[in-house]
Amino acid sequence: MVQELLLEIKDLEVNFYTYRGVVKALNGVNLRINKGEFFGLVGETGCGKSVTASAVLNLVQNPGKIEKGEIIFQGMDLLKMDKEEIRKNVRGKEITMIMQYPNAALNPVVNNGEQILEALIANKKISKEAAKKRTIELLKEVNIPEPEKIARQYPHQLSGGMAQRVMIAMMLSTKPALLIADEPTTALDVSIQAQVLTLLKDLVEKNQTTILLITHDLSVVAETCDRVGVMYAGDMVETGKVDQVINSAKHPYTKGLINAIPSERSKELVEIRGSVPDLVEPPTGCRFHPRCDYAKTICKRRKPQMLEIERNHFVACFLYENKK
Amino acid sequence: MNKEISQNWITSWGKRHASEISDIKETFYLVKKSPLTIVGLAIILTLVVVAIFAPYIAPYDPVTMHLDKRLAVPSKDHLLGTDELGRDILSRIIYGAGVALKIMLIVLAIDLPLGIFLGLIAGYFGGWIDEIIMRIADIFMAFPRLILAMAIGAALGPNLRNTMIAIALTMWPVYARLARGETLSIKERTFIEAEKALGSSNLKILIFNILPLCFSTLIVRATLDMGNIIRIAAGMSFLGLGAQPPTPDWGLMVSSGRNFLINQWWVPTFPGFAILLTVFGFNLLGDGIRDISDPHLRRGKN
Amino acid sequence: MEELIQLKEIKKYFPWKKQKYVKAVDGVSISVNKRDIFGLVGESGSGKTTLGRVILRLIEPTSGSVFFNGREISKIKKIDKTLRKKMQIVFQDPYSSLHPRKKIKDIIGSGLRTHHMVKNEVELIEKIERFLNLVGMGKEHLYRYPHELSGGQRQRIAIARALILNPEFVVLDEPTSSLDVSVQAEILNLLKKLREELNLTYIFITHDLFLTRIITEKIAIMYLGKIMEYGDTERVFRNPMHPYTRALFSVIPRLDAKMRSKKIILQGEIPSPVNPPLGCRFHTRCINKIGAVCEKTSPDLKEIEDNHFVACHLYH
Repeated sequence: MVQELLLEIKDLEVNFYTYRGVVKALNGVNLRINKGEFFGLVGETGCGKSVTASAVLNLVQNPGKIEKGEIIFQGMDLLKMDKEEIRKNVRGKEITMIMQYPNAALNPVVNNGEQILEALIANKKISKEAAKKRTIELLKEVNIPEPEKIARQYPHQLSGGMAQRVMIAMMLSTKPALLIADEPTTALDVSIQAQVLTLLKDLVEKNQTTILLITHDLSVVAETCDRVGVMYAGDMVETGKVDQVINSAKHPYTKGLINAIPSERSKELVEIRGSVPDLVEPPTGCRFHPRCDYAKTICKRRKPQMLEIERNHFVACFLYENKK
Repeated sequence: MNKEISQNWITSWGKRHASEISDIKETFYLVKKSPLTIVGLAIILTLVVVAIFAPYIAPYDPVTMHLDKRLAVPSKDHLLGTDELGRDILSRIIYGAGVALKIMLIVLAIDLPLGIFLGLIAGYFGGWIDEIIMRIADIFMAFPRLILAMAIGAALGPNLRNTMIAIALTMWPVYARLARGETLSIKERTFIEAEKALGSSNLKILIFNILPLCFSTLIVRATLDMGNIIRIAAGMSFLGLGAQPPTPDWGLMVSSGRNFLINQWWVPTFPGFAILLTVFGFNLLGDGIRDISDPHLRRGKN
Repeated sequence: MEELIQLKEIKKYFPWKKQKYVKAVDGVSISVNKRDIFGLVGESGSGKTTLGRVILRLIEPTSGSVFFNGREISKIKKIDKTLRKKMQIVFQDPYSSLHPRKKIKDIIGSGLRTHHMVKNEVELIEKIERFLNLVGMGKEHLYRYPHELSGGQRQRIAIARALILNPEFVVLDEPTSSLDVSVQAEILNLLKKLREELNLTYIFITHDLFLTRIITEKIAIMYLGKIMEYGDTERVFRNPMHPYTRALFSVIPRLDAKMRSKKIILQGEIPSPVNPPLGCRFHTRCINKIGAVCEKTSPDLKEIEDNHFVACHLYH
């Protein structure tokens, strides 16, 4: 079965012009997400994963600027589209987003049902009656108990897990082609996290929604995603099927990350020497080279390109230049 | 040899204060980006310079009367004309700058320490201390400022010193409130809990940890209030309660010159304009300081 | 193994609106031995953070006793400075636990000054430099401000600040939760090293179960103010007995598909600590609930195997 490409990001470069200098946040990022896929974008603070998501939604704010690249969604380059066009037809409709703190995105003076209702009516021409029914349906779909009662309540009355589910209901109301979830469970307790992640996974399976999950937690990605992309300091360093990347990680950073996190495998935590670079003056060539045990001269000089080293498994590292 | 030692000292001083220096540089950068702040700063600096160097700048002595040249039209000899007693208006305005500054500084010298002290202890200790201080503040704030100042000024006796005390008494609640508000939010922050865990006394926490963080809000407020102080002082002088003749006080000049507004317009107008410009300058400066202190513009300062 | 800290039936209730209380800690008894790394694990509302502060008497317990080195310290009216020195804390958020307008030297030196541990400025600087080195930082940071440092560096400063007072034990309140993964490893390894070098006892508060397995030697799992299970970390991990512990272990995400077992997804939300369920706190979400006994009686901690205690009617 050939997978259909839904989103393709090509050579995306984003800079932030700040007082201290130019922060080269994204250094030519490449990413492909197929329709119906659950894709995990993983990396630590400052790697650029959230900036990438903002770029897809064309929400890169001043002092940030998209310097070059293409973001091809359903065949059209979003970066070349008219901003009004994106606002009206893409953002909030075809591509929606949930974030770490749902309460920040929910309107505190509107009850939960209304929030979803508004989203439904704004995007489709349906009657208020039909919209109300659909709202309750959506709340049921996200496993909210007593949906009528919850619909009448206000966001501040919801716990973290429930609020996140209301957000998901709202963001699914337009039947988007792509749902971006930016650290949706980071602020939630483990037992609640499990509920929300299971929900997201069900949604991918049942509705064929494509989800881009952004997180710093590799274990979460391992459990829920089909494919994963690992980012470091503005670069995409490795992408592939979850099984490939986690069980046969190729990039030294990916390997380092796996050894540094507390997981069921760890007997101890192995540090990655050095620290995350300052993106105003990032290292030359491969941005990971100062911390890499395998760094060669070429790593300082040139940026490695993404190469397919096994089917569907890509790495950007000079260790594999000749092993194609 | 001495040169080496002093050079070493300078380098090490530079290293120890590198952070402050970089902060100051960042401040300058932000100031440069805001033209209105620069205008405000320019006006106020001019005011200060004029006040300090008044004896050297002013063409005439401000109190000497030239009864033969009363109400003279502005001319080469008297650039802004003379008033009803033949005194040179320009010189009186120049010396008046010093008087205005003195009023502002003394009022703030009373209000800032008083307000900060009361606000800090009200906010930090809460309970009945807070209640008492806030109720007293409420009483003072219940009256319109000018009326209260007038009442106090009249009760104490009409002179400049009493005016300053009166104005100070009407304004301290604002600073106390502000300091209390800052204290309430700061005392919940983790680094205060950390100080307690280290064994620091309440006094130490208040003076060395909470107080330094209140400064910027209070300074901004003080700067914006400078204009208010001048305005009230001018109003009080206008009503005969403030500075007494022959002090070159701008408010007094407007007051005693008001009868001449129609035919000898320069007598009340120029001092009035001086007040306007000063208030305007402080407002711009205060806004500018507020914007610059905004933690969003600064990297993680708060 | 010598006991350093003992808690007996500690309760901490916070007044909440009218006549109600947030029962943050509702009857906890544990003992921590010298040189232990004791883990306090739980989700939100479990009371682990409050308990950590009660041990240090940063918060006063509503009832119950705290024993330190055999001496009851909970009845002392005002905790004296000497006692304060002996127990320290490192907070979770390195971005708010350091005063934004103070230099590193003054942040670390604050405790030294309060307790008159140095005679003059020169000694102060020397001592601070020594501890900066101990936590892996250089003396060039002495005159910097916190906002010039990264999260990991700030946390090192927080550690130096606590350890420079030469405490006997340190409460580590989620010390790495706010840090990046790769930095977390550094800080945790540093903490382990310092425990050896300075003979410290740690109370390690966290919500990360795999982290607990790597770092701690003893573990207590808390839920809604009570301890559900406690004992040697390895034993608890190999043989989790309490239904809550089992549910938690089943849902923590794992890298290896083979290591995942059937997930016990707990239904509903964690109840509010203002109205915790009567009887066993966990019965409203427990899949192994026996019946009325779970609703009426709160089970006590019983030793089911060597150094492994569970509070559950299933084992009574």
